[in-house]
This record gives sequence, structure tokens and C-alpha cells, in this order.
Amino acid sequence: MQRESLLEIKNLKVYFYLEEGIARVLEGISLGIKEGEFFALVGESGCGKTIFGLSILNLVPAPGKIVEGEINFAGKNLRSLSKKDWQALRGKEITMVFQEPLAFLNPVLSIGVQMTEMLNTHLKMNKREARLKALELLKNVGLAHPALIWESYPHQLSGGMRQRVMIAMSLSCGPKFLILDEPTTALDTTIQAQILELILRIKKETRLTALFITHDLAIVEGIADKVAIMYLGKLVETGKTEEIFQNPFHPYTRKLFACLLELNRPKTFLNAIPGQVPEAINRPAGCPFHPRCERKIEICVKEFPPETESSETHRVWCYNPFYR
Amino acid sequence: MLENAQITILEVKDLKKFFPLKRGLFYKTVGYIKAVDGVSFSLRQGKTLGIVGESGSGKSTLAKLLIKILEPDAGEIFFRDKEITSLPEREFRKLRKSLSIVFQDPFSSLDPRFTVEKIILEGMELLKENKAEKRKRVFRLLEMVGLSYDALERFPHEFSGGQRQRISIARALASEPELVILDEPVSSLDLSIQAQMINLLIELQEKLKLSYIFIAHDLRVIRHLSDEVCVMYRGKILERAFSEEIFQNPLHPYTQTLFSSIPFIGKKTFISQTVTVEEEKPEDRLCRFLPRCGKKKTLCEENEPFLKEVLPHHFVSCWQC
Repeated sequence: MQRESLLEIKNLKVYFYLEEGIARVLEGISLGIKEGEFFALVGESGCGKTIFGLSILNLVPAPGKIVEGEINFAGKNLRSLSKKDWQALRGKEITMVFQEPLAFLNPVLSIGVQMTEMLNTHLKMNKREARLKALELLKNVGLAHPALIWESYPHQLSGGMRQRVMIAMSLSCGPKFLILDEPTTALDTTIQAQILELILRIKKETRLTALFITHDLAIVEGIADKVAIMYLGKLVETGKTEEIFQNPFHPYTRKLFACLLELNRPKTFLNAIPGQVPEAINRPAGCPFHPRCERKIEICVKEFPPETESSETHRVWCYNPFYR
Repeated sequence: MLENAQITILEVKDLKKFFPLKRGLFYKTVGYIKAVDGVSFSLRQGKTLGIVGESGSGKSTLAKLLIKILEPDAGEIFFRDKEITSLPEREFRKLRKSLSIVFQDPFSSLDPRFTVEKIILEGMELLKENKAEKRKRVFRLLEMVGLSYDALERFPHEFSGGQRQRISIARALASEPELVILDEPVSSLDLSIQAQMINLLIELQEKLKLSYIFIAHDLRVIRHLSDEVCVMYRGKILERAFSEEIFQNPLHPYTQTLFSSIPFIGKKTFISQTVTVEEEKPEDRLCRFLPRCGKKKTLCEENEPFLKEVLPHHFVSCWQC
């Protein structure tokens, strides 16, 4: 039986109107995330991953604008919501954990005040109830002294603690959908392991649906059910995690794997991707990856390839993929 | 080549750096942060010593001590048999060009008002070369780090993170150093760019016979580049061995925790042995890792362990090993 998608995005386009011209940051993204699914979005920085996360929450910063496309969440069209409806939805049903928590926590308010505010707004809890609930949440994310954290200000906490606080906060109102934007990139590997372990536990316990944004394929395998590879505002390959990991079709996906350091092969030359992601304002014509692609053929320069399905779930957008 | 490998280029003995903690109205010293607390190691020419540790372990302080940005409180640093901590500034300047450093953040470590050419030329100030020679070398350096000549007239802000780190490396190599200290040179970069930089670092080391001190918190990077590894925790070295040995046979509980947290393809869980992130402050006279250690015994609560050789060239500071 096919489950309905909780989040369904069709042909999403986000453009930034700059003085120098129009930067096409997202150029027609379509994907569906089913309830209880963990979906990983992978790509280098500058590919539009974060903007994609922000556009779900209608938080695209100016001068960016969603110019086209549909975003449906639990049967609601998010693009036609009023400001008031958004306030009820954001933070309650859909929440986001940001890469750098310090930038999104209020530096002059204690953690307690910030958590109370959220619980009060969305769940109409009074101060006492909110405190109890918040302390429980802080404990659940593995913070040993929740009462101390409650009184602290963001700058008094370490990076790992702040990230936990962010996760506790984003889970506080029982969201249906969680967006995690590089939640562990800035952290030490030991703390990264703990945070990922925590996210996995929450996933198991609450059947949470999530979009996990990252550039590190090594952590995707353990956490995601499905993976989408993004390059310059376009999806280039999507599929179940096993499919992508066992059989990556797109040259870009292969290259991302090649960038990972293998523990048993020290001091070897890495088959890195040459060059870097071009700026969205100078999008190459055709397939955006073609200037860095070793397998490009004539047509890649002119036209973006159509979707090819190799299984019901595994799709690739490439004229010269690795299968056959 | 073999003979070179036997030459010790850098030797550090019992290095210490404490930062006073000042509090209250009269700014009284109430305690010390022991950023580097009795660190010893040596590095052979043409090799890479990896120093790994979590944030707050004192890695960056150590880097700064090694090139005398900071003065140590105790200990000795021998660079090619010359003790440099007690060397007067004028004497040290002669050696200074043989030591270089690349910092973690390519955004704040390049002067925004300097063109790339000026940045690299500045690194050559201590060399006795004429202008034409220097200019020629700037071109060669750019080529070596994979930047095009039109970069010369541009300013740092016009470059991406990876390109800036290339500029930093070019500047570090400008004085023709023998030893380069790399303080988290790739950790602010994307994995794809990180791979390019690692290739570059390996290539340069082979070409110029450089010795590296490579400081990082990412074990995958350390494993890829290092010949020998020191594991640091709260100012102390807890374990030291050749890279091959330490990765196959980590002995210290902290090293084991650290290694078990490395993500890689095929690993489906993330279990790390640490219980909580917050730790109680460890006592100075005991093992620094004690509050987080899962294997402690009574002896650990009584005496501080010291670095001892438990296997050939494998040093561990732990009572359990």
C-alpha cells in the first residue's frame, strides 16, 4: 500500500533578484516525503540545500523569492497560507534545527525563557507546566543538568550543548516534520555521534518525519531512508539509501563518494571533484554539472537531461549515467 | 631519503602553557587553564605528525607555541637541535623563515586590504632575494597551489573558502619552510574541497620534502595524512604511536571513544562510548579523562598516570594499559 506523502513539493523555483542579475538558486525541485520517513538531502555548499529547507518554512531571505511551484504539507497548500496561519504552523508542526545554533538562539534571553515562550505560544502552557516539560525535554536530549541549562544563556553553553538545546526546542511542541540543516557539521566527532544517536532514538520512538540536510555522505547511511543528491538547485539523483549507496548512477554522486576518506587507504590520492560549484548567478546551460563532469557528452552542454527511472524509487537525471 | 627520515627536525620537551583565570574587583588570579600541560614529542624530517583532539584540548595553543606566537611557561622546543624558546627575537628571526603556519579560518587569516601578490610577497620578507626573483617565485607558488595568475591582483574576499586556503598555503610556503604547522586547515571546507586540499598537501610534501605538524579534530583526515599520531585531551597527550599502529590498536579509553565515533560508509550506527557531553572539571592531580572514563579503577582515583611505552613505540598514559 502506498502511503500519502506528508510533504509534497512540485517544481519549486526560488530566485534571488540581485543587482547583477537573477540567481536561480532552486530550479524546479520536486520531491515527496512520506510520514515517518527520514529523507537526506546531500550536496556541496552553494547547491541550495539550506534555501530549500528555508523555503519549506517560507523563510527565504530577501532578495530571494519563491517564484513557482507547490508545497503541500498534510493536505495544506503552504504557499497560500496567511501570516497568522504560518505562525501557528512554524515551530509547532514544522520546525528546523540550524547548522549554527548560536545564530538562532536569542543571546539576551535564558534558555528557559526561550523555551517557555515557545511552549506558551503553541501549546498555551503556563510557566510551571512549560518548565516541567522543558526540563524533561532537555533531559531527553542527554543533558545531565537540565535545571542548570534552563538558567543559562546561549553563550555559556558549548557547541554540542547548544545543538542539543536547539533539538530539544524544535521537538518541544511535538512537530510532525523536522528539518535538520547540517546539525552536526560544526561539532567534534564524539559529539556528532551522540547527536546522531539521539536523532535516531527520537526517530524510533516518535515516528518523526524529517529532512536531513548534509554534505557528508558517511553519516547519511545510518540515518536516512531515502537520499536526494542536489547540484546547483537541481536534483540529480534520488532513491532509497541502499540503492544510492550500492549503486550510484550519477557521476556527481560517484564523485561525492570518492571525496570520502577511507580509513584503510592512507596517503592515497583522492579522486576529488575538480573545480568548485559555480555561483547560481552564472548557471551553466544544460546539465549544471557538465563543466566538472568527466562523462559529459555533447548534449549535456545544451539541455538538462530528462528523468530516468531504474526502479520505482531510484531516479537519475543524466545523459550518461554509470548503469548499463 | 632513508637518511633524511632519521633526522629529527622538531623536538618538544615537557611544554607547558597556563592561562590565568582572573576574577573579581581586583582582577585576582583564581586559577589556571592548563591549555598545554607537559607535552613532549618529536618529528622526523619529511614526515607528518598528526595531533588530534576535541575542541578545548589545547591543540591550537600548542600550534602557537611552536612558532612562538605564544611564549611557553615551561619546557623546551628544539628546532634542528637549536632550542628556540629561549632564543632572543633577533636570533629567532633567522630560523623563522623555516617555520610556517596555516590557520583554520581562511576568512580571518588573510589581510583583506592586501592583494594576493602582496600577501605572498610578505611571506618572503625574510629572504634575501631581489624583487624579480621574488616575483618569479610568486608565480611558481601560485602554480603549485593550483591558482591562476590572474589571482595576483585580486583581494581575498573575491575567493571562495577553498581558494583562500590555497592562498594561505602559498603564503606559508613563500619563505621556503622546512616545517609547516597546519592548524585545522581543511575543517572549514566542504568535503569535495577538502579532498582537493588533502591531495595538494600530500603532493607538496613529496615535492618539497616538507615536514608537517597536522592538527585536526577529524580523525579521517588525520588517518589519511599522518605518519605518527598524538591524541590530546585537556592539555595532555594521552596516547602516541605510529598511525598504522594507533588506528589498529588504540589502547587508551579516550582514543577508543574517539575512534568509535568516526563515521564511515558501511557503519550504520553512531554509538559513541561517552555518556554525557558535560563533564565535571577533572582534578589536576588525576587523569584528565577520569570523569568520562568507563574503565576507571581505584588506582585511577589515586594517582595521575604518565606516558609510558607499553608496546614498541606506542605510548599510553593510562593505568589500565
